[in-house]
Amino acid sequence: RPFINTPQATGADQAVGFGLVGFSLLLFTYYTIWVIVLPFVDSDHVIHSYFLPREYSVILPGVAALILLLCVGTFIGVITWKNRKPKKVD
Amino acid sequence: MTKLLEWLLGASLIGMAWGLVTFDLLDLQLPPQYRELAWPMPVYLLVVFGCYSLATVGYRVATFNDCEDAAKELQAQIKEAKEDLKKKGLKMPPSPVNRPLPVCRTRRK
Repeated sequence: RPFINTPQATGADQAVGFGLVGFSLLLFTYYTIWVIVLPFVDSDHVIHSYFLPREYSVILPGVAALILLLCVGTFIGVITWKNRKPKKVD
Repeated sequence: MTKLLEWLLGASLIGMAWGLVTFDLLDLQLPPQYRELAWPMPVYLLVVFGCYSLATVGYRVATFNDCEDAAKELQAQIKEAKEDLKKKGLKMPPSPVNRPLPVCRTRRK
């Protein structure tokens, strides 16, 4: 078992790693209840108050994907701009 | 048939099945809950795939092991090489202060 006998990853690595695992589990559970479970629950059940209207289950990931693309594009742009070299004059 | 064609065929079949249910092209009169379930499916599968990728990356970051011995040995070798090159007259760039320790690939397959 990797956590006992072999040398371990440092604390920060483990914290970030398991944090990511926990976050994705939470996200998966919430999203699965929203998309898959809720249609089969009576519309007057209290659980519906914890979830936005169904349209948002498609809109929010779409917006998140757009923001992600924007961040990636900006990052690439900044790095490219920083690394621009002046043209050599022959 | 190539793998690409197989994947495209499979994806198209699934896509057509999804389209049929979502837009009710065959007038199948499915119960409303199943139609409600069907139309976010492409986005749902993408989100699930994203969660799985994130969890895999996180887990492998958490279980990736440091190798203290290999790190020390490597830094000793770097020092030795630098001194050797200095003797031969090479100017070395300043080394970064907080050098991250290398990790070794002992994660079990």
